[in-house]
Formats: sequence, C-alpha cells, structure tokens
Amino acid sequence: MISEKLEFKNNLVDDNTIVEEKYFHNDCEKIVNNSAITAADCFYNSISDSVISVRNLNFSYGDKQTLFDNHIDIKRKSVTAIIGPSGCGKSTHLRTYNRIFDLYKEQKADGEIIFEGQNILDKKTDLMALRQKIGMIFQKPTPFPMSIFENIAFSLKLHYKLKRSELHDRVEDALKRVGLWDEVKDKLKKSGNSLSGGQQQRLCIARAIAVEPEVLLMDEPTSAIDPVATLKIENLIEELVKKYTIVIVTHNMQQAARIADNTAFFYEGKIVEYDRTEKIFTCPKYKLTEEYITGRFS
Amino acid sequence: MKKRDLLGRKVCNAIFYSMSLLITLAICMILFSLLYTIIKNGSNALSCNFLIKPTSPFKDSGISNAILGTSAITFGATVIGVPAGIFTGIYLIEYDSQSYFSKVVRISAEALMGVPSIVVGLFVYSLVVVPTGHFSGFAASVALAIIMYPVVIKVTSDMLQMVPNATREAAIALSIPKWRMIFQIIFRMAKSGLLTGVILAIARVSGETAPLLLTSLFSDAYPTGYFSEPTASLTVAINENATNSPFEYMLEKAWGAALVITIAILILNISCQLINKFTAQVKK
Repeated sequence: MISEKLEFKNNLVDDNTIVEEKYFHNDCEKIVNNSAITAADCFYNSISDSVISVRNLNFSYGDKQTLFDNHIDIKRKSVTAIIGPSGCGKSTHLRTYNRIFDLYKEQKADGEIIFEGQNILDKKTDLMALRQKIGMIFQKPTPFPMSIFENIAFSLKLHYKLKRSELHDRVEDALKRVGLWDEVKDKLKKSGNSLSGGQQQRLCIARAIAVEPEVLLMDEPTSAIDPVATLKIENLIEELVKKYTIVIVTHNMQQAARIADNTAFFYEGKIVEYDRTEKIFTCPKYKLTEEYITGRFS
Repeated sequence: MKKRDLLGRKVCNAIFYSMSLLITLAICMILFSLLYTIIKNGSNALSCNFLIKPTSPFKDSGISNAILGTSAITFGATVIGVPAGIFTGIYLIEYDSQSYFSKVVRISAEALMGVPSIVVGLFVYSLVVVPTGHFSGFAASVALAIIMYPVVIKVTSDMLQMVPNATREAAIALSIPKWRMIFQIIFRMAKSGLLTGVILAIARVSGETAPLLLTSLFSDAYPTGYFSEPTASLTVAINENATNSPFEYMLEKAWGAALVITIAILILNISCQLINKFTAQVKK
C-alpha cells in the first residue's frame, strides 16, 4: 500500500503528462457531468472510523451564501486535503470545524458537524474545550509577541496546572516533535518573531500540538514560506498523522498528492468529489475535478 | 507645433521648491525662537529657591506648589481618563466594531475632541465645583480627564486596529480567553504605539489653562486640599504672575514657570520619540 502510494506520488511529481496519459484515458469509470454540480459522491459513506462528520453544512457571510450542503467524513489519523480554486470555500469550510468564524458576527453556519457525538454548531458547545481538541494552523505564521518558550507555555498554562519542570518538559517535547528544538534550544528566551518564517510556522504547530489536540486544521500552512521550509513541514505532517487527524487546505495540488490520504475537491461552495487521493488524481469521477487537477482552470 | 520652454518649467519648479522649503523652515524657526524667548526670559528666574518655595506676592517666591499642583492634577486626570479611554477603545475594536452603537460612540468621541477646553471647564464647573461648593484640584482632574478621554479612545482604537486579525484568530484557536488575548497578546503588540499616544495625551492636557481657571483656580498653598481647596498649577501661575501683578519681578517668575512647563512637556514628547525609535530597533 505504502509503496503503491509512493509510486503514485513519483508519477505525479515527475511528469504530469505521463499521469494524464496513463490514467485519464484508461478504462476507469468516469461519470462526466457537464451540468451544475450535484451532491458530493458517496465516498464518505465508506469511511467507518471518522472523527468529524459534516452533514448539510451551509455557510453565509451576511446575505451571501458561500457553502452549500457540504457532506464529508474525516477519517481518524489520516491527512485529508481540501483542494479547489480560489474563493471556492475551502478555508471557510475548514474554519467551521473549530468555529473560529464566531469571531465575526456576520458569519453564520448551519447544519451538522458531528465531533465526539455532538454537533459542534450547537449554541451550547463549550468552545474552549472544542478548540483545545481541534487545533488550527494558519496561512501566515502568527507567533505571539513573547519569547519562544512563552509562545508554547502560554496556552499550556491555560489548560494544565504544571510545575515549572513539567512545563519545561512539555515545551521541550513539543519543540522536539516539530524538529525545532535543536534550532532554538539556546535561545528560548528570544522573541518568537526573531525566527524565520518556516521556523515560526513550526513554532505555531508546536504550540498547537502542545495542548494535545485530536485534530489539526491547517489553512494553507505552507503558502507563505519557502520551498525548503515547506518540505520540512510536509515531512512533519507525515510524522504528525501517526498521532493526530489532519485536515489541510491547500492550493498546491502536488502538495495534496504528496501528503494526503483523502482529498476533497471543492467548487463554488460545494464538495464536488471526495475520495482517496489516488483516485482523485488518477480517475476522478467528475469532469470538473479532472479539469481542475489537470490545470485547465484554477 | 511650438515646443514649450524647458527653462520656464525649471524656473517654476525652482520657485515652488524654494517656497515650500522656506515655509517648512518656518516651523523650526518658530519652535527655536519660542524656546529662545522662554529660555532668555525664564532663566533669570530659575534658581533653587524658585523651585522649592511656594508662590507668593513677594520677591523671593517660587513655584513649588504649582509644580506639585500640576503634577497632582495631571496624575488625577491620567488615573481617570486613561483607563476609561483604553476600555472604550477595547470595546470599540474587540467587542463591538460594527454596530450602530459603536458608530455613535466613535462620532461622539470625535466630537468631544473638538470641544473647546474652556467649555469642558465650564461643564465641570457646573458638574463638580457648584455642587461641592468649592474649587478643587480634583475638579480640574475631572476636566482634564474629559479632554483626555476621547484622545485616548482614538489612540487605543487606532493601535488595536493595526494588530492583524490573524493574531486574534490564532489566539482564539488556542482557546485563549478573550480578555487574556486582549491584555497579554494584542496589547503587547500595540504597546509602543499605545504608550506614546497616552504620553502625548498627558503632555497635551498638562499644558491646559482654561479649564483650570474654572475648576482648580489658584492658591499660594501646597496642594494638600486636592479634593476640597483651590489648587495651584503651573499654567495658572503663569497667568496670575503675568497679568495680575504690577511688579516687574512677577513677570519674570511667569517666564520661569513657562520655562519649567515647556521643558517638562518637551521631555514627555522626546521620550515618546525615543520609545518609538527604541521599539523600532528591537523589531529589526
């Protein structure tokens, strides 16, 4: 399975045309649908061990509706990528999982997002508890204006009563898990802003995993940083997925192909297609998906 | 087609350039000649006695009570006005940035900033001085706090607005409580701007005279009766010494007081510049 996946990745990275030749014109079942997008396909029904189940999710900014009847199941301890053209609602969708949109009064979501047996869109959801379990990484690194150590300790101290030594251990552990410890161990007291962009983003990931969430939401986490740092973060994601469920929004299709187990393709607020990543990139069911992943529109 | 004269254009440009340069130079000229006049006239009055003796109609009088009075009044105004302004600013940006109510608050603050200080003094006169039955340093603090309040609202809301929303989202996503987010994260990011804004507001009100004439009035005593008695202040001391006395030496004392308050306000202003410069360097 793993070798299959690797081979598939190599194919994609090496030469897109080969992929196209090999997969799009073969005999795999393709439902070509030129009319308006219908409901998402039924892949989510086949996911047994799901952490988050989204049903009939609608979202609006004021009067403008941006998500329409989203259905999706997020598989536990896997990487789920959300791809789609700009403004298709990828980030909006992701931002409903921890209700971060609550920050803005004009943004409204309805439907069901089931996490641990509860609809998190319910008014009585304990948001503090929810956001501890569902962490988020943003497009731009957002270190807080405090030392590297404090950046991680700040939220740790909020959630746990820890002795000094325990706190230090937890911070060290978080930094080690994102591979930042060796780079910063001698300057823990320095400002988080003194780090490079890639380091800052890993600091933010460390900060998020320090409080032991179950799910990590990543909203284009590598779009603001350089390729080398991006590679480091992609490797990190592959490491993290052993312990956490990761949902990543990306506009980089190769990134989705490299790291994701499942991929959802969004278009104009609807989930057009959701399936195993190989399937999305090799024989998508819908013509729209095919057109997008082959770069005919973006 | 006849070509336009290039020389003409150059001459025009030179004229405009030199005009704007000259007028710009005027700002420096004004400041330096003002400082020069104050120093020339005020330095004669400056002496140890002048700084440690209270005001009196006699030749060996000083301004110590006025210095203390101005400090007490300004301190009182800061204690009332700065927290009020900061909390209103927080409310406007962090809690309720779009509603009709917050628009009304914003407009009110802008309008309050434009109210002449003597009108504020008159308002506090009727609000505090008349009901309590006496002039007091506290009444003056209230008047200055009212003048300061909208300025601090403006500074706070401007500075908070400059903090990117991404920071707020990151804090909320880590389930950091909102008040902690505001005081421990957003404020740290806006710190230098807030601090300089507040210092400038303090500097501005510490030089006010008109509202003090109607609230703290003046007294030759030390400001022990801050809450119940007329209280001396530097600006009113200048006014008293310069206008209410037939003696030449009193005019000199007025210049001395003017020198002291100018230096104090300059120090406040320069400290702002230094704070800005320092934090800019740290950020680099």
